[in-house]
Amino acid sequence: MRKGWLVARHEIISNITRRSWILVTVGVPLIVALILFGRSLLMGGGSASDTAESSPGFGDLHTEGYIDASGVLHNIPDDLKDTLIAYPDEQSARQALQAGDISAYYIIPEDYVESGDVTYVDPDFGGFIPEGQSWVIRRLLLFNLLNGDTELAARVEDPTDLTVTALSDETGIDVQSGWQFTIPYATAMILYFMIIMSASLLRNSFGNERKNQVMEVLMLSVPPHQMFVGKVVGLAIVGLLQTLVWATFGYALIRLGGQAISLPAGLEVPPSLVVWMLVYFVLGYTLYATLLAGLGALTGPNEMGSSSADIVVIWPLIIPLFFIWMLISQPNGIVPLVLSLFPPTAPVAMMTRLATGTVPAWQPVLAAVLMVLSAFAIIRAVSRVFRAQILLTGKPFSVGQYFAVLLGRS
Amino acid sequence: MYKLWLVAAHEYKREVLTRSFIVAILASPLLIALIIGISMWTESMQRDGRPIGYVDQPGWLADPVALPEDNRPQSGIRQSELVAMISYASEEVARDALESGHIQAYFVLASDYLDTGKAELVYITPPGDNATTQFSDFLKAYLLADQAPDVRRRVIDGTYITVRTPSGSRQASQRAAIGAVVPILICMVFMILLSISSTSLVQTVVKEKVNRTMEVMLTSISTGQLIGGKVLGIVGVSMTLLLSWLVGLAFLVLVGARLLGVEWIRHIHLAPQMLLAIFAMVIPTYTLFAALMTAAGAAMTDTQESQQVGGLLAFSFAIPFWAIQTLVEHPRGPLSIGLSLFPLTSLSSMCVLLSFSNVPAWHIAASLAILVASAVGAVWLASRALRLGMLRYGKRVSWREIAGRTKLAMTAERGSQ
Repeated sequence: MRKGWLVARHEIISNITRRSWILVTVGVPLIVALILFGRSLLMGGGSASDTAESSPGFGDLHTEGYIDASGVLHNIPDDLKDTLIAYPDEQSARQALQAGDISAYYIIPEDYVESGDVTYVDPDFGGFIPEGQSWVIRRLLLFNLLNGDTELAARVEDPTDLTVTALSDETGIDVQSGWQFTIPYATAMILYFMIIMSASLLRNSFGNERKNQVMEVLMLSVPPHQMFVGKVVGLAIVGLLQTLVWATFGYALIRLGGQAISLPAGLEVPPSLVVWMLVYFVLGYTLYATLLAGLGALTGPNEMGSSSADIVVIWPLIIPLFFIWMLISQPNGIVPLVLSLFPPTAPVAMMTRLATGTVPAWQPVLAAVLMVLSAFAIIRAVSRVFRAQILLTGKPFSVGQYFAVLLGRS
Repeated sequence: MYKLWLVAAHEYKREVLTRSFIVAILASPLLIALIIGISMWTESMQRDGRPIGYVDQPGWLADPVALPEDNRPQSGIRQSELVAMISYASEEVARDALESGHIQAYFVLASDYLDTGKAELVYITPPGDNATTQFSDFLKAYLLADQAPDVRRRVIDGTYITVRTPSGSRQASQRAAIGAVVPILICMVFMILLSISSTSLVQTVVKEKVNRTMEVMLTSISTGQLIGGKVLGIVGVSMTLLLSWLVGLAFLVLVGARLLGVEWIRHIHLAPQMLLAIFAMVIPTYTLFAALMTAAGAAMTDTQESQQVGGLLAFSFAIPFWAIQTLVEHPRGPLSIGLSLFPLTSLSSMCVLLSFSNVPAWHIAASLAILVASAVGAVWLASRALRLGMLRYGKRVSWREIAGRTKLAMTAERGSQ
């Protein structure tokens, strides 16, 4: 196995000393930090939406106009009379807008009560953003529809002061509430990218050697399985190292700059989650890197023509991302269970479920065992690809041929 | 110039007239349809059709006079999502019904509900949003029992705001809020295209370098014409792909909306000037990225290395999405202006700005002018990188060297003329 280690060492050193690798490893966190902190500094440490929500009553408002053809707005509160000016027609409102007397105006049509439609003429076109003040007209219309009954208007806006009681420990996840969704989602995406990135490195490494036609020369002195294992181990370490740098940066960001980027207080990642993440990374990487390495050895570098085969191989890893909502909101449902036990979809699906924190202990163990068995079978299948007669046939590549070789039918 | 077009046409035909390209054209709309299908399926799987219970301690909901006839919930709930609501005399009975699985959850209105609004929601697994919204609308209907039916309906249904600019050139309805973010959706499709093609972009000249036809080609064509033609060809291929995806998507949305009877599609207004501005920026942006990635491929000897640089370039395109909140809230702020004028981020920031604000014509024109100048500069840089890369075959060429040696090369060219 000494030659295998030599290959692994070569892969590690040649990759991590590349200027582009260092640039990507350090550059990506730097750009992210720059944007997050730069944004925070530009916004003066707090978001504008927070300010809007915290301002009591109608707060500081721009002066706006309205044309009420429906006759609904007959009662304007005194504190709004200077900020909301009535105009008889659109022509006069437009003139006031051009003169700078108002910043925008509303048109309430005659059939407002039937249709509910209101037009907001805003030169900035910012009607839906949190800072926009179209909420003023909504509240005012509600107030007027209820003949100025503020108590009823407030109750109708929010009919219940609700307390929630869950009768089971397994409460499920409220996917609407930010971090309960974000943490499992981020876990899924991180693992997905870790596997794809490292597996692609291996695929390209074999592809390049196919292109340079050095693989045949290498095989004269290194047995194929040693070369294969050496590359797999070497590039797994390279991928893990890059992820470690990014994870350290992420951890530092949470600890040092949590407030600047509005992270919740006491956000903790359980150690068991990190351990399972490593286990599923190693297993997922072995599975996909092996398949992609075989592909690289047959096709050469990743070019237009071979990308369809890549998609066929990578596809199962993407499937759990389609079901991410279900994996998070119903982690113990039948679909999440099947996806997290089926080896090709298991890494991403199981990690997403584990991040929700409601998975029975036997399930990740069983999924890992199934993945080990699959990885073993796939390594054996891909080793067929490395037989000289297959590498040297010179036949044009096809997806069908690749899978035929894997299944021992070619 | 004839040779440049010859190279461009060759590149275009080589990529477009292949089976994999046709598969790529068809695959994306099908993939999106699949994603939408899976989302709808998972949503329907999560929907709990069981009734919802309530215990009315104040005895308020028991008044049959208070229940209006048109108490159909309005807050965006479809008819198929409606669940039955069952009244229980006490909490114990309601809990038995919950534990036996007859109901998905129950509400208990406190005896002082009418004064305080206090209520409790009890469940084993959280009920669907449709059920809680329906119950909320149910309460609203009772609260508004004394109002005229049309007022009651309007209060529950709410107000729908349509924002438009004074000239009427831009319009977005709350009934189809997705219409406002169409620029962002186009930008995302562009981002997918960029990330898919970044691998092939860095390898634009690799094939010719590897099979050593580059030297032969360069005896009859200049590096500028070769790179210009290749970039032009690839831009043509990618724009064909982008256009076919967008047309496919629009077709899917329209047909889907018609088949499913989706009403809100009618409220989407797309301003032709806005679409024109985006598409005017798409072509130079792609040319810029294509040329920069080609330059990376030409300057670096290792495919893996050039791919990582290509990935980093594609990553820079997404930077404005990290700062989306600032861009939306401060469209005239320094960050918004800076990102929308910087060529690598101008398209993505402009898409965000166009979605949520009215961007002045001078701003779009300035971004476009900088972008076009940068794209031309990048093609020029790529041709220089190829020239130097050829002279120093097998050795890596640094960016500084490209700029430095370029001066020497230009001097030499001038000398030879």
